[in-house]
This record gives sequence, C-alpha cells and structure tokens, in this order.
Amino acid sequence: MLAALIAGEGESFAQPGGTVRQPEAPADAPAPPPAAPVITPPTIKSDQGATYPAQAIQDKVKDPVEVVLVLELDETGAVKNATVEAPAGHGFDEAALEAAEKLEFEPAKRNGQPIAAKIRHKYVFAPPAARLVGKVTTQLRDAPIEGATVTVEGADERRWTARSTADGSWRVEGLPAGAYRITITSPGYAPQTYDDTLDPGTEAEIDVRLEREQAAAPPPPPPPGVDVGEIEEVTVRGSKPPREVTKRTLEQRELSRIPGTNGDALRAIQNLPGMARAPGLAGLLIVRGAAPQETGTYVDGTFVPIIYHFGGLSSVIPTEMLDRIDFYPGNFSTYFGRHTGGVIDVGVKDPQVRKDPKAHLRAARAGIHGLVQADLIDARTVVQGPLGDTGWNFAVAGRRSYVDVWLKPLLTELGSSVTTAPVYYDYQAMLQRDWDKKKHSVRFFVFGSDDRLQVLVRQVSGSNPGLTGNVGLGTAFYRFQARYVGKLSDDTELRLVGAVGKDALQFNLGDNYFLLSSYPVSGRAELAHRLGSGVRNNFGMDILLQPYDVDLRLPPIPRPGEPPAGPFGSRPPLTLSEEGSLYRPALYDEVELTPFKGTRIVPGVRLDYTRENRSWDFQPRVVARQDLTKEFPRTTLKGGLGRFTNPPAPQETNPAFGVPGTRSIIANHYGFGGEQEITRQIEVSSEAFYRQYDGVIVQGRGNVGEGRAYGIETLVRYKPDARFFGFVAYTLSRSVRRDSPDEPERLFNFDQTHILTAIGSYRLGGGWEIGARFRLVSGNLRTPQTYGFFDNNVGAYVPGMSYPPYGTRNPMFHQLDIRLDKTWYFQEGVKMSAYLDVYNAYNQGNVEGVSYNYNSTQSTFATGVPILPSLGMRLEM
Amino acid sequence: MRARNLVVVSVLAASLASLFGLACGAGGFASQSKVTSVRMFGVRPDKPYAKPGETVTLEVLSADGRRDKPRPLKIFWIPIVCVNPRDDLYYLCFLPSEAPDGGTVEGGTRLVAPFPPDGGAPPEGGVGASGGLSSIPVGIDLSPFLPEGPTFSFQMPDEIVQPRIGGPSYGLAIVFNIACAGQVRLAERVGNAPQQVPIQCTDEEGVPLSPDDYVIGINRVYAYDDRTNTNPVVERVTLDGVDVDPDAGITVERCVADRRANCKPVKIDVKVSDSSWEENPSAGVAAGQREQIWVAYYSDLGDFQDEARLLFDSTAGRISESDVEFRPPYAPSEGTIWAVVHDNRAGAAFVVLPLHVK
Repeated sequence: MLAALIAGEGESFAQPGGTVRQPEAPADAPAPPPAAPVITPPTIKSDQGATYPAQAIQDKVKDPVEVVLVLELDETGAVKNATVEAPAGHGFDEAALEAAEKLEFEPAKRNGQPIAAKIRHKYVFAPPAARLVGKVTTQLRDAPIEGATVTVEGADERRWTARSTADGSWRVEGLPAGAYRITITSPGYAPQTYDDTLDPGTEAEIDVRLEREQAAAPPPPPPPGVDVGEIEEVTVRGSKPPREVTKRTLEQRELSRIPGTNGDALRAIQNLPGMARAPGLAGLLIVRGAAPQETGTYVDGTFVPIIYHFGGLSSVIPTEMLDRIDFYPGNFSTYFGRHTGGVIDVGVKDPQVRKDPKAHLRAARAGIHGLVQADLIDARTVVQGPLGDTGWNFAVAGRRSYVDVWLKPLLTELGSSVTTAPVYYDYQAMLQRDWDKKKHSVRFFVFGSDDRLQVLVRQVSGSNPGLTGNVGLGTAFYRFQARYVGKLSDDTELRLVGAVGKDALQFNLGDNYFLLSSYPVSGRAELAHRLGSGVRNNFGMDILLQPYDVDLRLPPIPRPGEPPAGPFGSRPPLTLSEEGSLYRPALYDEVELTPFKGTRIVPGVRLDYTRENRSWDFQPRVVARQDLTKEFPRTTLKGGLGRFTNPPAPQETNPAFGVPGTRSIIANHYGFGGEQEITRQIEVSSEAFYRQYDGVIVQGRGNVGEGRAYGIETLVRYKPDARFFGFVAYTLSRSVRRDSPDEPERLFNFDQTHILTAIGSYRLGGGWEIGARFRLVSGNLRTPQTYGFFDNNVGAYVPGMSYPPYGTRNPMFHQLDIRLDKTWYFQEGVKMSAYLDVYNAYNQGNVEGVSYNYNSTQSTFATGVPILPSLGMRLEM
Repeated sequence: MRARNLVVVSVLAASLASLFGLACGAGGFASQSKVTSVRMFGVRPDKPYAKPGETVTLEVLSADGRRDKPRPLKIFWIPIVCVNPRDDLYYLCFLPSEAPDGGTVEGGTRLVAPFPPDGGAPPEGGVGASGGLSSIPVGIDLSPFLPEGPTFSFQMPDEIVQPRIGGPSYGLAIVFNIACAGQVRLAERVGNAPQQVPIQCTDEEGVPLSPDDYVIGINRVYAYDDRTNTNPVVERVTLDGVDVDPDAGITVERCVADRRANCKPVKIDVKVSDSSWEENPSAGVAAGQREQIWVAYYSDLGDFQDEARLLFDSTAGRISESDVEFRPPYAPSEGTIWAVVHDNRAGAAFVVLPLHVK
C-alpha cells in the first residue's frame, strides 16, 4: 500500500478538458529487483474541466492562472479527497475543487491489482474571450443599415471585422480582454469611432446611429468632436453632443406624427417638458415661466423674429427641410445670448441627393426629388437634388395658405361684417457643396416669411368702439444666410455664419398704426480647437447690427398691474418717428472638459455689449455632467448654473414708451437633474430648475421689477422602434413677478402649475399608423372684472379690474388629439400618404377665458376650439 | 341639401375658429343697445377741445329703462375737476392725498374747483385744505350738496397745458358724474384696488343699490393751445332710406313672426355731414388721416342688429353701408331710440327719436 502511494505521487497534470500526462521513468533508474511489483499509475477516464469562476471575471483577472490539486484516489479510481496545493484566490480554487469532484480515474494498479493512489492534478484557467455586439441605424429615422463595416482593432494591431445584417445588427466574438478601437463605416454616412476596454467574458453593446455625410460637418450650434454618451444633454435622441445641460431633440418620426400638430415639426416642440401650453392656437413660446419675448428663435444660428405663421398655424420653415430642432429650456451654451428664457435653434438640412438609376424620369435618375403636401390650410412643395455635375446641390421650397380662398365665401354665408382672411407664405432656396472629402462645406440659404391681414371692419363693438375701421396686420422677414464649416486640421474647426435681411412689422387700427422696418446684419465666427486629451475650446464672436426705422401712433400702453385707462383709443395717442440702429457685439469662450470617462464639465463666459445704453453684460456659465454607470443601464447626474441677460428693446429705452437708460434684464439659471435608462427603449430624465430675475423691465418704469420661476420637469420616453414611439412629459412649476419692490408678489401671466402631456404612436402595419396626444394642463390665469365706470366720451363701460392682476385661474385644460396616417408606396420611390388629424377628439369645452357682457355684470366661460378634423395629403417622389 | 350645406358650413366654421383661435360660448348676453336699466349714453361738451381759461359745458344723455322705478333717476356731478393725472389715468384722481396742500396726489394730479373763487386762475394747490373727496366722511348723503341735472360747467384752468413726451402739449380735465336712482355717498376704499370707485349710489339706509340703479360716468375734456375740434353734425336720420322727422320719430310695424330672427327689420341710418370728418393733426407721419366717427344705438324697445356702426373711417372716409337693422318688438308700444355719434377726439352729437310701434 505504501509503495503504491509513493509510486502514485509522480506528477500528473490535469487541464480543463481532461488530459493526464504520464510521468516518465528516469533514464538512470536502477533495474528493479526481480520480485519488485509492477505499478501502473492512475489514468483519467473522465474530466469535465473546470469552469472559469465568475468572481475572476468580476475581479477582471486577465492572465492565465494555474491551480494544482493533490488528489487521493481509492481502489476504484474515485477521488476520495482533494486539496489545493497553492491557493490562487478569485474563485479559482473552488472552481478546481468542484471540477475535481467529477473526475473519474482508471485506478492505479500493482501487479494488475487496483490499489489506492495519491497524485497531483493541475488546472490551468485561461481568461474567457469577450464579445462585441451592436446595431447600426440611421440617425434621423433610426432605420437599420445593412452592410455597414465594423472594424475592431486591438492594441497589438490584431483586427476583427464584421458586417451588419439586414436588421442592422452585428457581432464580433473571441476578443481577448483588452483595449480596442471600434470603427463603423457605411457608404454615404459619416464614420464613427469609439474606444472601449473589454473585460474577460463580457459582452459590450454598441448601438450606433450614423449621420449622413452631408450632415457630418455640423451646423454652427452643436459643437463637434465629442463622443456620444458624454454629453450635457437630456436628449430625447442620442445625437450630437450639446454644450448644455438640457437639450431636447425630437426625431423626425416624432416630429411629423404628433397628433394635433398637422405634422408640423415646430409645433411639435410645444409638447416638451418646460414648455407651457399657449392659449388657444397661439404660437407663443412660453418656456419655464418666462415671457414669450424672453425666448429666442434661430435658424442655424441666425436669429429670426418668428417661427410660426399667424396663430401658430404652421411654421415658417417646412418640416421637410428640417434637420433638427434643438430646444434649450435653460442653462444654454454661451454660443447663445441676449435671452433670459429658452432658445430654439432650427437646423436646416443640406439638400438631399437621392439617385434612382431605374427611374423613368431623367430628373429622378439624376437625383432630383420632391414632394407636395396640401391640407385645408395651406399647400407646400419641396424640390431638391444635385445641380448637374457642378458639385453643388440645391433645394427650393415654398408654401402658401389658401384660407382666404374658402374663408371669404364662408364669412359671407355667415353674414359676417369681416369678409377677408389672413394670407401667409414662406419660401426657401439653398445652394450647398462640399470640398476636400467634405472637410469643407459652403452653403447659401435664402428664406423668408410673410403674413398679412387687411380688413375693413364696419361693425363697431359697443364695449370697445375704437377697435374698428381699417385693421391691418403684417409680419414679414427674410434672410440671406451664408455658412462655411471647415476642418482646418484634425483638431481645429472653423464655423462662420453670416446673414443679412429685413424684418417688417406693420399694424394699423383706425388711425393708429405701428410700422417698423429693420435690417439685421448678423455674423458669427467660432473656432473650435482640441487642446489636448479631453480638452476642447470654443471661442467665438456673435455680432448683431440692426438699423431700423419706426413710425407709430398708438395709445399709451398700461403698465403691468395697472388697469387700462379706458377703451382703446380713449387717450391721446403717442407718436414716434425715429431712425436708429442697434449694435450688439458679443464675445464668448467655452471649454469642454472631459477629465475622466463619464465626466464632463463645460465652463464658459460670454460678454455682451449693448450700444443703446452703453453697457456690458458679463455672463459666466458652467454646466457639468457625471455618468454614474459606464454601461447600460446608464445613470447620469447633471447640473448647471449661469447668468443670462436680455438687453432692453428699443421702445423700452425710448422716452415716450419707456425709460432712457434702462439696463438688461438679468436671469440667473440653476438646474440639477438626472437621467436613467430603464430599458434599451425607455429612459427617464428629470430636472429641477430655478430662475431668478433681477431688473425686470416694467413698462414705463424701467428696471424696477423682479421675479422667479422654479419647478421640476420629468420626461419618460419610449424611443422610436419599428412599431412604437411615445413619451410622457410632466412639468410642475411656478412663476411669480413683483412689478416694483413695494408691490406684492403676484403670479406671472403665463404661470401654469401642472403641464402633463402624453403622446404615443403605433404602426399598425400595411402603411397605417395611429397616434394620440393627451394633455392635462392647469388653466391660464386671468383678471376678473367687475361693474365699473361708463366712459362718456367713448360710449363704453370701463370694467373694474381686480388687483393684483391675474389672480384667478381658469379650470383645468384637458384634451385628446388623434392622428391616423396611411402611406402607399409605388414604384420608383413614389410615396403617397394621407392623414386625418382630429383636434380635440372628445370635443372638450376647455375654458380659454371669460366673456363679460357690456357692463361686466354677467359673465360666461369662453371655450376653445371644438372638435376639428383636418385632412391632409402628401406626395413624395 | 340644406343639411349638407349646414355640415359644410359647420366644418368650415370650426376650421375658421381654429384659425383665429376664436373662443366659443361668448354669446348669450343682452346687447348694450337694449336699455333696461339706468343708463348714460354719452357726453357732449360744447368745446371738445377747449383752450385754457375757457368755460366748458358738458351735457350728458341718460335714460331710465327700469321697469320698476321706486326712486327717481337723477344726474349728479362731482364738483371737483381732476387735472392732469399721471398718464391720464383717471383713477389716480381717487387716491387719497398725502400732500400737505390737500390737493396734489400722485404724479402731480390736481383737484380743483370748477371755477376759481376769485374769478381768476384756480388756486395752485387745488380745492383747498379740505383735500378733495378724501376729506369727506364716508356714509353721509352727499346728494343735497352736489350739482344736479344733465349739464355741468367748469372753467379750464389757465395752466393746464403741459408738455407731453411722444406727442403735442395738452391738458386734461376729468369730471365725474353719476346717474343714480337713490342717494350718493362716499364709499370706503377696500384693499389696494386702484380702480375702486369712491362714490356709490345707495338707498335711504345707505345700502348700495344694484348696477341697474346707477351708472358712474367719467368725462374727459382736453385742452390744447393750438388745436380745436367741433362736435359731429347730424344732417338727417333715415328709415329704410327715407328721411325721418326728428320730432315725429319713427313709426314701425310690430313683429308678427313666430321667431325673433324672422321679424322683418327696418334699416335706420344716421347721416353725418362731410364737414364733421375733420383732420386729425396728431395723425403724425401718416398724412391724410382724419377722425374716426361712429354711432352707437340704444333703444328701450326692439333690438338692433349691431350696437354701433362705423360712419367714417380715418383713412377710407365715409362708409357706404352704415345703416343698422332694427327689429321691432311684438307688442304695440311707445318707446325711444337714442343714437350717439362719437368722434375719436371727444366730440359727440345726440339723436333722440320717439319710437312708435303699431
């Protein structure tokens, strides 16, 4: 027995998978005595191998590990006992012992008889390979891209490649733990590169949305060159990295399918958190309790006075030309200034080229395509494509309302004394080309809008006789914009945007009028330079020169909180005829810091000059973002604070209408929030905000007001997939103002406590899609009236107004809108679609105000738009 | 066919409402033209634009349309002229004065007596140490002490014209009156309501009466050194295109239709002379602008289609279709039609026509 044991101690090695190496007999071994027994060492019959321990994966053990066991075998070859010779830790010892229990041996033998034995057995643990999986889709539509090439390159320059399948998915397996660079390319799209470190046995997922190469050179507002996933954004869509804490972007499908908007993208943004519901269909932008004039609207970085036609019916840029709509409810980049509320920046697409070699039409073969859309209100068309073989691409578009065509007979039928209707139109034309492998891009863009209404009102309201006679209203603007974006080097990018144009505002009512013409010249230049790893600097200039001439004759405007002095026109009007110019240059600098992976800090400063009052506004700002998890499900904290100023409007410094020397309004923004991925499709974001106002300009008094707005916004979003998209947005907020230090604080005119919007849209198949929007919003504020005076000069009652103003709230607003789409596909890429958009589907009589009788002794609620179906058609080819 | 038209019109009307953001449910009130209570219709100053130092006489047109009249209607005038309140805000005339002279309130507003005591210029400080309305105790019946009747005269202060930013120099005198079927008392100010009326109409016990029993009026007279204005001149009144004798009034057939909308209307038109459409010097750069003139209609019987009609637009001139439809009542009766022609520079003209419903 003892001899057998000694003989059995010869080394034997076991490896996962089960092999036993027989000990070799020493060459110089003396010849055995004749009577010596013949000993046969044990041999492995079954070895299922050891499992790589989970703890080692968790501990990220990257090197092979050996564990040597001492096994005691009985006469049957079974393992009676196993001990670890030298512990290795990380779960390796346990894994080896567990594997040893399943070992089966052919027993050791002496002279052919089975005997017990003791041997050494070794397991070698090699780290398991990692794998990469992902999906490649288009950035705008989230459509899968087939055939995209995924290249994975290790530190030792080994390479693996894979191609995306029809659903856009790809997979690379057998990757040793280590650092890799992953590059995704596809013809016609801008490549994207990521760096990642893979741990043993893990699976990393990288979903990529590729942008069309034409758009690879980013338009002015978004900064370039920052990795996705490290951004100060509450993106509703993973997109270009903004410099802001809160940026909301809707995808194309969401923009065009939200019920109640007639497919108008810019109207869709009124559903986002932080945006209050505008009364009726008015196109006011009320952001986080700010006045509409505090929010700026831009087209690719160029300020425009309006983005909606009359009453918010439709936007001044057709949805089909939009590349993106970025909505910044607060704490926006130093790129933007002269606003204390929010910013909406509309990005316009470069002309699209879509060649169809099999098309019958020569234009279609050459890549020219277009669409026509019409509904009850207006019709629009877009045509775009290459300009021959010149390398230039073009796009032209236009829209005109034809409400006036059918409204006049309707009003005549109804016996109305007003027998005309507003007319609006807009137009766009663009030329664009790239050079040097799209490192340089130049674009010329002309766009404009015109809204007009002129009517002679013969009927006179007894309660406001001044509102009669010739009534005219017109707003118009145009811009000629030139833009250059170029990569000067791998680390430096230059963006230039210049625009000239005209803004015109005309209003007349009886013998009162307001005529304003201005000729804005604006310019932006921004140099973005990568200073080093994780450090990028953006330095820029933002200049506005705006000559203007104004003629007006208007009754004095009541001060906030003051009741009107009587019916319109009961006081001698103020007159003004003036020429002047605004000059407002600004400099800004912003540093994008990424000191650690998942950490992002963007401090910046902006300096604005206002020539009218010769004042400088210094505005430091900083935003930060911290990813708490590096992989799915992502958890992120974010926050920001900064100073924002809004210079006075010309009338606010005019002696007749305002107070000379009036300074800029100051608003300090504070925001803190977080984002959490719940599933791959569902994400939640929430942000608390506080905005504190100083030097609020009060009509006729100057900077005597103050105020604050605060609240919390939450967005739960289901990102668009093949079938569904939707989101639920809720804002709880309060906005208050004080018109002077000795007056009581009051609710601001546009305060809305609760704003809940739920939107969903589902593709039924066969080209059908159905969607719904439900809104539940606090009623708007109003000032109750009481029986007051009779103005004997005008012949009308003057109601008594309760004080402080806006002390009563209308009942809660709730409304359901439904949209049904049907799309037909024809040969050669021709697509026709129709939609039915039902506004206020259950015909809720929402209160928009209160109507009073002539002397305010009786009142009734005035309700909003009843159920309103709208049918539209669209043809694309 | 009619039903289909109705559907089409309904859909288009809904679309129209959405276009303009119109609200629904605003109707259903009695028209301002329907006189069923104590009413004032307007004031006619003999000098719509007066010069400093001139005496101005105001004449108010009023009516008592109440079915039951427990107390007679009287027109009372507050014998204090409020001069140049800040920004022409009439309610600054009510604010209690803290000034030592008792006559000056916020923004330099002056409260002066209708005529200076010595026949010359009004005292600089105002009505005197009494402090105007704020010095009178609340709750006392003021009726015996107030001027009463449809007219009131005062002298425009000599120094009333002041330079104005954004316009020519002018002065403003504001006079308050009240058509009250009861007693006039001062009202206690409540809270911080700037518009609160400091006077009220009460019964003999001091209980405030309903709005049907009183109307408080505000009357403005502007003073310019170099501008004048005359009241519009009514040339004639027509009934269905035929001139009406103002003394005889209008005679119409009673309505016999089953539905009010089916009552046969008559058309009434007030014709104002072309010369009434005066130039408006303050029209500024928009040359050629003139006055805007309109007429407001009232009646204690029947219904007017419109409360008021435009007669002259400031640029388009005379309006060709300025008549108003009037639907007579069902029962034969006697009533009155009042028409007040206004221009937008404080000028006015009155038309009072007996109404005979056969």
